[in-house]
Order: sequence, then structure tokens, then C-alpha cells
Amino acid sequence: MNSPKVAVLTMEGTNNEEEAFQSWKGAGADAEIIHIKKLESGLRKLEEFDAIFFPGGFSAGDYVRAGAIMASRLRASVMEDIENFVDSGKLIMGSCNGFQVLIELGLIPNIGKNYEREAALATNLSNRFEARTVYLKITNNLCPFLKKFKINQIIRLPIAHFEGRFIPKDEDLLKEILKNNMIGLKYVDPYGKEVDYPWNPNGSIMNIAGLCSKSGNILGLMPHPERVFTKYTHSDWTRGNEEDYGQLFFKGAVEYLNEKF
Amino acid sequence: MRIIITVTLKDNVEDAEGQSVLKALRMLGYNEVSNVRTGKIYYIEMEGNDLSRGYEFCDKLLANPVINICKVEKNE
Repeated sequence: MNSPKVAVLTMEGTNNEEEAFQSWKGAGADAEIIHIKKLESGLRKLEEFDAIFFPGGFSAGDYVRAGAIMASRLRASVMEDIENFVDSGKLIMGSCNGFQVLIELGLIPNIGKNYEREAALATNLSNRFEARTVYLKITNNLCPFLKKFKINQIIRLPIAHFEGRFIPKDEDLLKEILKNNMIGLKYVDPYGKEVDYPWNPNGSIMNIAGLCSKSGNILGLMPHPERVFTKYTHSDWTRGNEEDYGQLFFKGAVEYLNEKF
Repeated sequence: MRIIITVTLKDNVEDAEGQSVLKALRMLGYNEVSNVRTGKIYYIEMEGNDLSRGYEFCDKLLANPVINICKVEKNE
């Protein structure tokens, strides 16, 4: 059986692509770091891959808005390929800046199925760059990236962002998100309660930390699973209370791809 | 032609940066300041005379319609 092929996209200003590459590889995928220029020029095609990963960082310096320039370049050059990729049921994941790109590309929530921007990840209410470990509750494990978790399981992942406050375009959209069970992860306190800052680091509505697409094959989240593939890169692993949460995202995805493709 | 595009947050979107500036101004003693809203200004030089292009720039890149308002003006 061939390993699933994963494109970890990069451009000026992204980071975590190396961690993402290693995470996919560690989970059994055949990963490759691809600069978006190669997609724009047609040198490489998304159809060669089984999954796409949008890494974190500060693509194009985060100028204009976080993720906006990377998204607009991809929208102008390979949007049709991305739409076909989504329709094929292959997997897409974006963490942090990658989530911001997914939102700007209209891949999430995409309730209207027209790839329009239906939400935003706005500046944290604290007006600070929040870089620390947060508690998260898994609220949906239907999405392949989350299948290795139990519903209501509390996990810890690192975050590092300035623009993570999820804002839907209106109340109806939020209702649709809830109706379709699209919230994958929520910010909580250590006991699993949905409370405000500092547990909710950015003021995100309903403590939303990660969203799955309606069909489940896309996950966007502000935390960084790729930074903690093993517990040893957690900030306080020496206290002995961490688990290898990060790798479960990638292992779930690879397992799904091996079954389906 | 030179156009000015001003991108601001919609009134119903909380402006964390504005709130920080408000706090800072008050700490400097300007107690008459009651609210601050922030935004970005783009000065764009271009060929032609079509102001509607500015709105295209907003739509394609400069603004997210969920949280932003875009104002396009000609800079005489």
C-alpha cells in the first residue's frame, strides 16, 4: 500500500512547515513541502496529493489581514483545483495562520457551498499576541482528524496568535454551524467548562477553537498540533502530565486516507 | 489617478486595538476621549480613472466583508 501523499504548503512568512512535514511523516504519510509558486505556475498540481496542510506563521508578513494575501493568491490561481480537491473527499487541514487562510479562502464554514468568506478571525480581544498552552475540549470526532479522540475529551495544545477571534457573518450562520455539528474543538478551563479569558485566549464566539467542514474533510484550528507530535515538545512535559495529543490528529487523517484512497 | 482606500471595522465588531489606544490616551490624561476606532489606509496610484476598481481591490484582498467596511475616494 502506498503512503498517502501530503502537500505542506509554504510561502514567504509561513512557519511550522517543518514540524508539519515531520508530523505527517511520523504518522505514516509521504509528505512534501510545496511553495505555492509551484502551484501558481502549474509546475505541481494539487491532484497529485491526498491531503493539503496549511501551516501557521505569518504568510506574506500578515500584511492586509492574517492569511489574506496567501488566500487571494491561491484564489486567483488554483481555486478550481482546490474546489475539486474538496469535492473528492480528500483532506485539508490548516492550523493557526493556516486556519486564517482557510477562512479567507471560504473553505470554512462554506455553509452556502459557494466558497465565499462567511467568517473572520479577528484580532484577539486582549489585543495581545497569545502564546501559551490552552485546554481544549473535543466536541466532534466525526471529522477524520479528530477520530482518534473521544467526545468531551480534554486535551492541551500550544497556541501562538494575534488574530484568532472567530466571528461568523451572522446569527443564521452560527445556527447552521451548530446544526451541522461543525465545531471540532472549544477552548475550556481544566475542568472542561467554557469560560472567558484567559481560558478562551482570543474572545472567540462560543469558545470556538477549531471547525470542521460540513462534509468533515476539512479542519481549521487555531492551536498547533504539529508542534506537539510527541509530548516531549510540550512546554511542561517534565511534569509528566502530558500525552501525545498532537500525533492523533495526523494518525487519524492517515488512517482515513489509507482506508479511502 | 491616486485613490485612498480606508478599511475599518464594522460598528458591531469590537475593536481591541481601539480599546487599547483609548486606555493609553486616558492614561495620558485625555479624559475627554470616549471611544477610539482603528483602521487602515491604503494610498494607491494607478492608471486610468475608474474608481470602482478600488471596490474590487477591497473585495479581492483589502477587506473581509464579515468584519470590515471599505471606503474608496479619489485623491485629487
